[in-house]
Amino acid sequence: MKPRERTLRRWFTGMAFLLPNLLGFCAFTLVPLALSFAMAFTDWDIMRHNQFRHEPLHFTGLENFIRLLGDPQFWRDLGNTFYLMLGLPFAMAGSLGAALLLTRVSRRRTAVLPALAATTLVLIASGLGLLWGGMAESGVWFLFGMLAASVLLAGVLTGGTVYRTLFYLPSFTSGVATYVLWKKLYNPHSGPINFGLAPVLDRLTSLVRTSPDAFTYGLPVICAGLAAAVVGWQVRRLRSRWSGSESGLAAMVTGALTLGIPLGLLLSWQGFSMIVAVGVAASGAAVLIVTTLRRPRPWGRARSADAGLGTEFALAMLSLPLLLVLAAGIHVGPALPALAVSGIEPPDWLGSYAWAKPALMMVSLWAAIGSNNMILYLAGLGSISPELYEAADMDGASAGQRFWHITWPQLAPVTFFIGVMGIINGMQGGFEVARTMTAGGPAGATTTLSYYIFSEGFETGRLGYASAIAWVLFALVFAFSLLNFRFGNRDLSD
Amino acid sequence: MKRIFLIFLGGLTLAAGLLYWTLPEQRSGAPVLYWATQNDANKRETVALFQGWLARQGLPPVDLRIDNAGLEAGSPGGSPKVLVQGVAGMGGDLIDVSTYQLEMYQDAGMLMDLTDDAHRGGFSTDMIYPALRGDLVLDGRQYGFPRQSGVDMCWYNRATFERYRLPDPSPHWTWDEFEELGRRFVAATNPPGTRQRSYFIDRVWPPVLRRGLGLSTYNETGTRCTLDDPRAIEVLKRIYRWTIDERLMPTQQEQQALASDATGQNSAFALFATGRFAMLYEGLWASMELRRLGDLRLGAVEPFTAGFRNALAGNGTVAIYAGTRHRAQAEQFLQFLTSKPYNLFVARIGDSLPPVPAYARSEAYFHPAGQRNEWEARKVFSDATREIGIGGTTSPFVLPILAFRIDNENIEAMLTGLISPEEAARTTARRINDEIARRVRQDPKLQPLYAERKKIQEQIDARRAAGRPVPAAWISDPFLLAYYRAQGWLEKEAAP
Amino acid sequence: MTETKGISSKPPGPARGLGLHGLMTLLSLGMVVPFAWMVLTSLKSLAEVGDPAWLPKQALWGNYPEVFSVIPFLRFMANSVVIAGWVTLLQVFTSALAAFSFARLQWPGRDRVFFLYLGTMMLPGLVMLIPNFQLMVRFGLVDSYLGLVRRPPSMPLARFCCGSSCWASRGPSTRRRRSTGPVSGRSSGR
Repeated sequence: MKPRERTLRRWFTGMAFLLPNLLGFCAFTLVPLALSFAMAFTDWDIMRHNQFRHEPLHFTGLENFIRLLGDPQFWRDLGNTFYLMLGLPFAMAGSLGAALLLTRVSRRRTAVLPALAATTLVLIASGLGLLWGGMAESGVWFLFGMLAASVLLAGVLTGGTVYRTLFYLPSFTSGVATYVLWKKLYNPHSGPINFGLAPVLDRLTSLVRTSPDAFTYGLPVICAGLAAAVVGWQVRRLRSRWSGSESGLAAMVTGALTLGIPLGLLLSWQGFSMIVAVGVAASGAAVLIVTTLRRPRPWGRARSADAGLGTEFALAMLSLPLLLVLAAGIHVGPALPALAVSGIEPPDWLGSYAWAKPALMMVSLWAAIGSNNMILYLAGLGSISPELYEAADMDGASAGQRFWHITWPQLAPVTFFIGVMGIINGMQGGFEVARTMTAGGPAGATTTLSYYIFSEGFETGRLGYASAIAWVLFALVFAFSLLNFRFGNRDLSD
Repeated sequence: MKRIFLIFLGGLTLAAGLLYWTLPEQRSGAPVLYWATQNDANKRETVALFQGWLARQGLPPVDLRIDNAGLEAGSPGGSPKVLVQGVAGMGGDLIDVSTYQLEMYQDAGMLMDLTDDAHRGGFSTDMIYPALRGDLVLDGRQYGFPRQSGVDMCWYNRATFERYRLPDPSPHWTWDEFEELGRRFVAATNPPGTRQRSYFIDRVWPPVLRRGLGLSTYNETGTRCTLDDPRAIEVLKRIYRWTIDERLMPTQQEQQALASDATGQNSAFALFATGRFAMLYEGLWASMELRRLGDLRLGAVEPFTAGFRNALAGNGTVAIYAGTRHRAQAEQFLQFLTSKPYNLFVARIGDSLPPVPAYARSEAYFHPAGQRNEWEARKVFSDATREIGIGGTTSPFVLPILAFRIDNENIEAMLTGLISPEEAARTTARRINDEIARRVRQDPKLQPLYAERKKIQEQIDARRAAGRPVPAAWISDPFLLAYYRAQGWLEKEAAP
Repeated sequence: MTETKGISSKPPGPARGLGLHGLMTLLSLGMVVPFAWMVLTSLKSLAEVGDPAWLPKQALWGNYPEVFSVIPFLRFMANSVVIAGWVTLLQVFTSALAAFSFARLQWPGRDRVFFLYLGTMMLPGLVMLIPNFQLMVRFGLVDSYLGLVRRPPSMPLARFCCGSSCWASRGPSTRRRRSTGPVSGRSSGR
């Protein structure tokens, strides 16, 4: 009886502390959750079920979900959502790079804060003074110089704190404000991006006009060479990891597909039929897999079929875009002389179907580099034991080796956490940025699932259908998270 | 730590109290009414005029406040926030609505039926342009009163036209004339091998082009979308040619980019003033914006059409929220909109035409002091509103915002080359008709109306096939009614 | 963040240090320049906004006071501050209590409740947006200050971070505690 009472007491104490939070949790998470789940099976429409019109709500069973499957907008928006998530590995790499650089900057403070403040103020004041006086075109460069000088000075004086603050700048500015800003930067007529690009492209145009052969043949050859190098490195790495029993079959296939996809795409760009493109890419990948499988494995079998999948996936996410860029180079080179006849135009970033998504990705990337992810990485780097590096130094490890064998594995839990959160947020994301910058356009190119949920739920008022989409989205997020927990974590921490 | 926490708690409580205490409702002696509209100088002056008018009428004062927080500029379907607040019971007492929004908000039950009060209070639809009555009336009931009316026309900058030696467009100009002038302008302003910086016109409005061919968005009864008609395909092909091949006008995205200001189209006006747009497709209210950019020599001409002359007319309507607690005061405001001081004010500033047509024929309207450059355009606008203005087309069976979005998306997809004009027309009509079918199936209230209209439509089709005239009462679409009348396809109407 | 000397083997020389600072300055500029452009544009006249030049012909500082006349800026600001303040206050208070309960107290069912909390992190905020809105309507909280002081979407994360850092500070027993969770269960089981 006694221990039971104590358990009960403990339970009450624990609950008492949790209660304030739990109440909010129930009211604003659990109940809405149940409600929204129920709503997904009804024809709830804001137009017919509201303060003023109370019509009976109908239970429609799976109708909403069935409609969803045949809804081309849903599939398009799902595709857009995944496309926009391709920026995630770059954002993570950027955050890690920024964190690495920040830890390298000396943190010794050589001057006190007032001195710093005074210098910065003086610099800014003189800049503004000149601005007031109205300097012409050269004023911009003066201004940049001023900015650079004050940042550098402040950086040196504060031991790098300023850099961290500046990197974090986009994160503590409201998202919508930065999106409005970028919308203006992207403006093809009055934005500084195309204003800056125009002379560069004009230069390129005249270059192409004077020596078309360099672009028709030179660029593709260079790109092909680079691509060959990347592919070669990948193949060697795949094989050695296989031989070393570090990766299993799943990782092998992932790696091979990573190399096959750009090849297939390039072929289809070049005008080959889909069947040929897929066939060639698939057989290339198959040859790679088969030849690798035949190699001896002196260390015995891998732990399981999916060993090393996480690492492979991370690498694929990085090398795939690179290979795609190179493939694009091979493809675009011969077309350039024809383009140069009428002048090469800078892209209409938010207005063209092809560029709108990359444009949004770049904004997210810019904002994500210095975000909480960087802070997490900084914390992660700070907690790596210095002895590991000292030991590596004694073994004469190079910088690259130190990174791949100490830093990267030690940061694996952080990377994993950021990656999972990034995928979860990415699948739910894209609403604010698209709403602010493109209104989901052009022709729906930037409408993500979350945007679709919003417009169904609040623009046309079909809350039942919107809930159904939201739950399908949840199912997807959940499935991805499960996959991540199943594979990603273990392999990253290998 | 504990102290910091307590200080925060105290400070926040105090601040929240202060905020609450400074809410207008707490401070004002008079009833506080919110008017969901844009907060600009004209609206503020309107509020002041209203208060003066109340005093002269011997009515107790009303604290009318402008609430622009819910408005999102540039979202074509209107603001979801107004809808969301409205259905939640928290709408503004007076709500600015367009034709499309009126139908949507009314459908949601958000708007007050004013039919009887309007007759008693003297703000019924008899007061306004006949062509625009349909904008306020759904199923025979009135849901608001316009604070302004008018048509969208093509403005042109005479200085630009003269610089490139273009003749003035003729008063009833056609697609081909537009194309000819546009080509000359674009060729003159954009030398080959340079980036295009100038366009002939900022945009065209597809429904107006379709109407020129005698085609509406829906059939006579609104039961089916007719955008898969060959005429719709012809319009799409023209839009493609003008936008992509000839570059006479920017794409919608380019246009939005040009109008880089998130709050409106100010940059488009600036570009018009500097000659980078030769024309603007806009209402009379554009003159207020253009006035700020200097003393431009302005001309205006009706939209170019291929056959049937028409211009899209619309009201800026003020509707009363069904959940208002100040109905009497809100109706006083609508009454005020019919008053002389208000109409003369609108006539003077040129924020579109005054709602009461007589004032759009007044001296104050035709010859505003200090704006000699607008005199000519003002006459064109006033005449067009009376003669060729036709209100917007909606169907009770599909949300206007949905139809608009579908139409728009397919035009965009066509312009980016994703689909052909034929495909775009087919997809648009199919998707809108799907929406009609779904809506009718889900909303029991619509079913009898739909069945009835369907039957009428069959009769109309039968009569048209036999070449016999049709009773006017059968046609619910304002454009098709006007078109039938012009073609002599209507049964003899009793003289009014 | 803590001092980290471990990552680089030797202290950077003056030249390398300065180069590093130069690189960081460049990268920082990449973050700052868009904002600089925004500030410069805010000083332009309406006609100049469509012009890609960076500098306004004449700086119109009057644009700033105009903000206050066009929108009730101060009221919006005060709203934001008060609402954000309450949200933060309540969040910190309840989350701290909850974190203590999760991390330092032992009670039956604790882990299950915690993972229920964690599980909600995976839910799209949008799933709850619609019913939350309906609830607000039902309780008459739409358009009220009270309606805004509710669970913001980042709350589980805050709790998670708080919870796990409390765990981490518990020393050796932490390891055991964590290793039973699904987060790293397989790897430590090997």
